[in-house]
Amino acid sequence: MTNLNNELESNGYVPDAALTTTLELMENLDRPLLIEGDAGVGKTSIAITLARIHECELIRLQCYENLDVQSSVYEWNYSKQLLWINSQNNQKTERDINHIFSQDFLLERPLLKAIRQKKPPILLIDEIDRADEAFEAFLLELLSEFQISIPELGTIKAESIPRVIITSNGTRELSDALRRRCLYHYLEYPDSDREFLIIEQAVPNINKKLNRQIVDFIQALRAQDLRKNPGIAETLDWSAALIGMGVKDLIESKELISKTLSCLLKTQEDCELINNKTLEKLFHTAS
Amino acid sequence: MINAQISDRIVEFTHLLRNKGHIIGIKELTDSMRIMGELNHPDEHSTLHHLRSLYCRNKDEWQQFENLFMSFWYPITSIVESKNTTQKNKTTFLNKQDKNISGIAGTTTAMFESMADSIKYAAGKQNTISKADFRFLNNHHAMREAENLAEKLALQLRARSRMHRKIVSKGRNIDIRHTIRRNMAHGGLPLHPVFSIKHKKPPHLVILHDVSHSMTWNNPLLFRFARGLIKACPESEAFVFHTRLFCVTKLYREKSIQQMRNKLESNNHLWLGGTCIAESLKYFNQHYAKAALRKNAIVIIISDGFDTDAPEYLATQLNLIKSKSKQIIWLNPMLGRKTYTSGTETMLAAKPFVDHFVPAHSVDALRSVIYKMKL
Repeated sequence: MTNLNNELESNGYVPDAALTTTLELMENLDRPLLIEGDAGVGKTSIAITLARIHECELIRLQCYENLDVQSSVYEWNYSKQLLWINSQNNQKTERDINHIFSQDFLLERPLLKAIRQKKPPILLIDEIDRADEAFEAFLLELLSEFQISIPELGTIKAESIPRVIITSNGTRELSDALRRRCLYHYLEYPDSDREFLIIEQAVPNINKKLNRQIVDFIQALRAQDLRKNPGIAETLDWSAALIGMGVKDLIESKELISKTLSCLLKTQEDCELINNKTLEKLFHTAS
Repeated sequence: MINAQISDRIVEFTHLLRNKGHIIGIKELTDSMRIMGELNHPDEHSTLHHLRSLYCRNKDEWQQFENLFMSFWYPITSIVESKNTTQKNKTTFLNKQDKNISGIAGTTTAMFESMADSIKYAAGKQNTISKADFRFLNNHHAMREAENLAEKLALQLRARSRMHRKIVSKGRNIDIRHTIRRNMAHGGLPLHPVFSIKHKKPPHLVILHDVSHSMTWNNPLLFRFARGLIKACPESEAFVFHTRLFCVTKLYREKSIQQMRNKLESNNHLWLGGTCIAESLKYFNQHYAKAALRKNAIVIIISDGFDTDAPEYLATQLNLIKSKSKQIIWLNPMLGRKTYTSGTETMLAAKPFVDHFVPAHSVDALRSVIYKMKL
């Protein structure tokens, strides 16, 4: 466990013990991992970091409404098929017709590509909750058997078992069938110590005092019932912005800080909620 | 290889979790045994983390798991204390169980059950926000969460109306995949092209929202729901009524919910008095129906049905609305409550003209509205 922990840290991801354990389980059991959590807690970064650690390809499928098999698994190369048909003489045999539905005319999309790799890749199925339930059902075969059935070709089994990471922001309920096939991890916002380490690693030239103040400020801001809590990416952007503006102490640059809050607050409602009085309380916490 | 006594305890723990609603299959159980067998002197934290990843399926189960785990394996230690114990319990967690005869400090099923129930109750507030009656959401955080859920739910309507591409014999866009398949008899040459159409337009909704005093408890969430519907269907119209009716489509499209509420209040659209549903609908029929209603319009009335006007008067107005629209759905927050009888005169008078009466007392109840709409 220490090894994986160190490798994650050396590749820029600061995990907690629970996450490291889950990732180890994923390796040992060859099971997909479903990670849920608010936007910006670092779900996608896990897959990116794992790809770096294993020095393998990261194959990413970004889900969206109406995502279908043609965009995610395979598609026939229609123009090539038509050209081939036209290039043949008029007498077409059944063999010719079968040929246009062979590997030569198959276009791989992310899921098919993932199971046909010699070296196990990281397959990231990002924001599965944005896809339809029908697509979710389609994934079941891949997640349990690591194979894909193409009616014209038959079943294609995985050459190597990919490490599958599925992320969800929880905007809709996923099916039990999908959940049952995966290990599960719920990723929370990092606690203050972990967030301190994350900033320290991502923004190396930050002084410890400012780092601690930023962490305390952000942690207090997340407790404010915001519509969209600032994620880790926002924290890092803000820290970098403050360093860029030459801020050494959060409390001494209050006016400047209030002008940079757009890095953290992403909706009009949240901007209205964090008024001067609330801001003063947040500064007090950070001091 | 896992010790038989420990494996028995893991099985017992698994059974108790199943009784608490966790769906744990044979595969999860065998995997947990295998992993426990492979670990050298696992401590409580590593055991907790392994079993949690294998046995949990959602956020609620994940958040409850630590307390359930502690109450089973360490029943003597209080739940609060267990969170703070780090190093002191770390030493050879399962080995310690070997010495402790039954392992796990002699937990009994009854003790676990009682602790698990208390945990479930504590965690339950958050778990069941979507099921909770709006009247009982007095906690500010829960209220905000339920409001967010209600708005998200309404936005699902957009996803529902955007159906998959439909294959048709006439159209503008040729679907090459289906064209080749359909023309296999001609050697794949596209003699009979097949077309696809993209998706349906979002439905045209007309929302008539009761903002009288009796709806005060329900309206913070129903506002969010109505606002979500208006955002999901851009051509929709919204009206609020108490003793009079006002068009508020623009206000429902405000970027911030607070701005929307402020403007509703400043324009005196929120009312702490009685309701004249029939009179308000008459005003709607006279001044807005011609522009707002059309054959494909779905009219959504959000009201508890407490009306000071005569029931026959309401029936006449609803009949007029029904004749110019596709469907009328009545969302009534009182319908989901035991104390309310749907046989009130107002509701009986409205019944022949309303396609669906839907309870609107919780987020879960609102979910069914999306699926009752004829798109």
